[in-house]
Amino acid sequence: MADSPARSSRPARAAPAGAARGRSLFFLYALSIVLGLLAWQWIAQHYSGFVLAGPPAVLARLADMTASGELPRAFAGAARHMMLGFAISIAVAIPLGLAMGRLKVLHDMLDPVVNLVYAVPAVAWAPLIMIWFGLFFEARVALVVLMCTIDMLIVVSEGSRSIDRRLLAVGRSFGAGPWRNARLVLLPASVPFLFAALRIGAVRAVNAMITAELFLAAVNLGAIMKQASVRFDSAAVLGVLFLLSLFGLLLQEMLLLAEKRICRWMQRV
Amino acid sequence: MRSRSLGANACGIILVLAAWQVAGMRLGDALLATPLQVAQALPSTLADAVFWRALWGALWQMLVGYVLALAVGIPLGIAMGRSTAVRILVKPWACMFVVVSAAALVPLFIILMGRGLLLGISIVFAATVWYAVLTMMEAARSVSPNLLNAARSFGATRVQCFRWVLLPALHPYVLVAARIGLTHALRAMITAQMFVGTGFGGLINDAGLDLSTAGLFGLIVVLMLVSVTATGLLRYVANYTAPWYASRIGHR
Amino acid sequence: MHKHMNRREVLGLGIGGAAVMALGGLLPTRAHAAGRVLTINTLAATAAVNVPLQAGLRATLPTLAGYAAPEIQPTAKIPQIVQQVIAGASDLGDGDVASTLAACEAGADLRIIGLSYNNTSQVVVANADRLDSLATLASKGGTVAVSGIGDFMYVMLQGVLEKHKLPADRIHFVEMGSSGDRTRALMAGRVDAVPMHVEQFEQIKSRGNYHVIVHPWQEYDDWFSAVIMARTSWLQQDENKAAAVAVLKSVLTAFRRADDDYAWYKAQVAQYASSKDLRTAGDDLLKPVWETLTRRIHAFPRGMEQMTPDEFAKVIPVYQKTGALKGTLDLAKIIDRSYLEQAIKELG
Repeated sequence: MADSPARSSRPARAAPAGAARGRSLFFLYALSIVLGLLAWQWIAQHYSGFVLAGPPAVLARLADMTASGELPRAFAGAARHMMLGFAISIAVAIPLGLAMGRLKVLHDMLDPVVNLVYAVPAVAWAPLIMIWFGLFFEARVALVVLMCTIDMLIVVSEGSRSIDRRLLAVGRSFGAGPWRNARLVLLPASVPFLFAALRIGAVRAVNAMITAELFLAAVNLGAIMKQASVRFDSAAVLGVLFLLSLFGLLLQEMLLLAEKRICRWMQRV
Repeated sequence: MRSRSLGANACGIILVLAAWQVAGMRLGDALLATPLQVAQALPSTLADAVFWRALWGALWQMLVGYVLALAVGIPLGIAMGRSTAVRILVKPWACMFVVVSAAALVPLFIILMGRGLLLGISIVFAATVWYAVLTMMEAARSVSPNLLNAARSFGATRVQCFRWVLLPALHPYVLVAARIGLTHALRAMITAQMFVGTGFGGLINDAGLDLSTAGLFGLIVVLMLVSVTATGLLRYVANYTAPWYASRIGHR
Repeated sequence: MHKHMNRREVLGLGIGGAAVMALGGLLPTRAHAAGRVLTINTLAATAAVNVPLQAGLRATLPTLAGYAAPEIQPTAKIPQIVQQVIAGASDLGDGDVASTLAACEAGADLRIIGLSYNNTSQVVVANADRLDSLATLASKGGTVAVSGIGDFMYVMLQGVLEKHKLPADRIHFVEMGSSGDRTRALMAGRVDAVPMHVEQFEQIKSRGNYHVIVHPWQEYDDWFSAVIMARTSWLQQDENKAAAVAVLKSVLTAFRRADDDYAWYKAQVAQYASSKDLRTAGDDLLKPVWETLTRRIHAFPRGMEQMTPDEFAKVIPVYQKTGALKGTLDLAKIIDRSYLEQAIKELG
């Protein structure tokens, strides 16, 4: 259960046990995927293929679309506005969130606005974004930025506020100035929630990626979904959703790995 | 202290309203009604019984899906946080489902579940449960081992550890999950209603047909206020029932 | 790009639909007076041209013996109306002709038994200061926002371009669901031309220098938009046949009154139109709209005379050219006037 103390204190002896453990984890992961697909197939059997396609039909359709080049092009196009939007959100949300955590006045001013914006579904923002940014690439980026920034801002500012004040007090009592304090105390303490924010942001970015294409001008993946839906091609609709989910999973796992690496590096430093 | 906070709160909101007013005056009410115009249109909206019925309808349907999502998601998340096996089994799918946008799901769900109560509940459940699961999973994983070790060194059984150490430690995070879940639940409910054209979402659709955006923005402002009030209530409950968490991080 | 549905799959679809209907039974049924409650799927946004249909369904149908007020299921996105009828979630639908025929080509077994309204009341509007005609749009290029790529207005426009030998490749079509959003996009200058209903055009005239660049009823004999459709399997039961006739009787009654009586039409608009602006519109806005609908467009025909396979066949080539339809349908089988004739007979 609580595996950290045991692992760190006896690395050598835990190695063979660790390898066996690693194998069983991998097995569980594979089992999870298989069970999920089986559950999907079971549910899909109750419905006609036009309403809810099962995994084989969906995979076949995905293979079709990939071979024709339609899917990779659409995905690349959608990924462009997602990546740019995500990058801008990170650049805005992290500094602003950290500042909000440390400066009470800033927090008190922005917090109500952030929460009010957070409450509104994306579909309601689409008309406003259309007026300010048009219908195409800039508008999609704007929607991604809007949705990601708000989510990340909430996590970063909460996390930044919750840094135990005593840690900073300890730093100060050892004579650290504000910058050193920030670097040596604030930043390491921030890593957990910063990465949590990045993961939330990634989730929201993939979500906004498809939402932008469904509510603004339908292009790329959104176009595929809309056309497929009109033509009763549920395999294609589910295929696109499945692909997006996998992409989201991949991003989250990558960020998790990066967090572990950085934590280990910081412990060594 | 509190009055200074409230003052800053008000300041932030006033700045946003001022910017909105200026932009609205430049663009005209067909594109962006100003706060004043929205305020003028609001009384007639609020006087309409249809509005209150729609609001109530959206809220209680959302609550059913929301409570279900918490009832399923929180225990599942805790289990995932404490048991590696459960975590590996469920996490890939949780991470995958959390990414799917409600807007993409609604057309599919309409065909599968019809357009009544079941649709609203399912969409809210599907949109909310994964947030609860992932939040509780992270929270349960990060419960300080010191707390558990201290309890065990005093001879506490597994059940006692769970009941008297783990649950109270997770309590503030349960409320965080509840707050995040509530916002997503409300958003999902309104999105579903906008597709089906009924209830509060239907009112938003209809207001969008009018030339002036004042009515539309009025509805959105109401939605914002309802959501923020509800999550504010949860935050108050959190601070009240878990004061040890609040004092550690220097909240008032 | 997609395969045909075979009988087994259609059956599976029906079973899925039955499952949906079974779930629907979980819902509390409304306390009703004696009478059958039909589920009718219609477009959520009721424009001026949709009002007689709504009035007929909501006000006239309950007055017929054996029928209570129907459960109107509003759907925001047009193509989903046909999908829900196919899935069995609704008895009848006010579906658009493009989706209905496309579904039939995909193998769904549907029948068109009536018209929700005849022709289309939408016009293509542009800002007169920026765009003076369709020809300019075609030569200089521009953006047009439509409800859906492949929907009846998109195909209509393509047909007009073809008819006047104008190139379509410079025009960029953009899909935007809500007519309000499309109108705002035009007013914000984000798109160059937008199809909208005549009453919406009358409204924005006061907000700027807007003009109509395409009148569909001047370019085509009849540009069908929305039809009353149902599954063939549903129509096979006698009670449903009678229900279909009852529905058509109500709709025809409403059409006839709307055609004759402006005051009655205005009262119905005040009750059933979705847009508050339209509900509260005065005669200066509504009377010209009514005249356009009844005199120029013939939107409310007394016997739905235009609903024949031959008339529909005239528009199929346009759909074929844009790729929205393959043109493989036998319209005589799909368009079924028998219920309509029965209704006309019973109305006298």
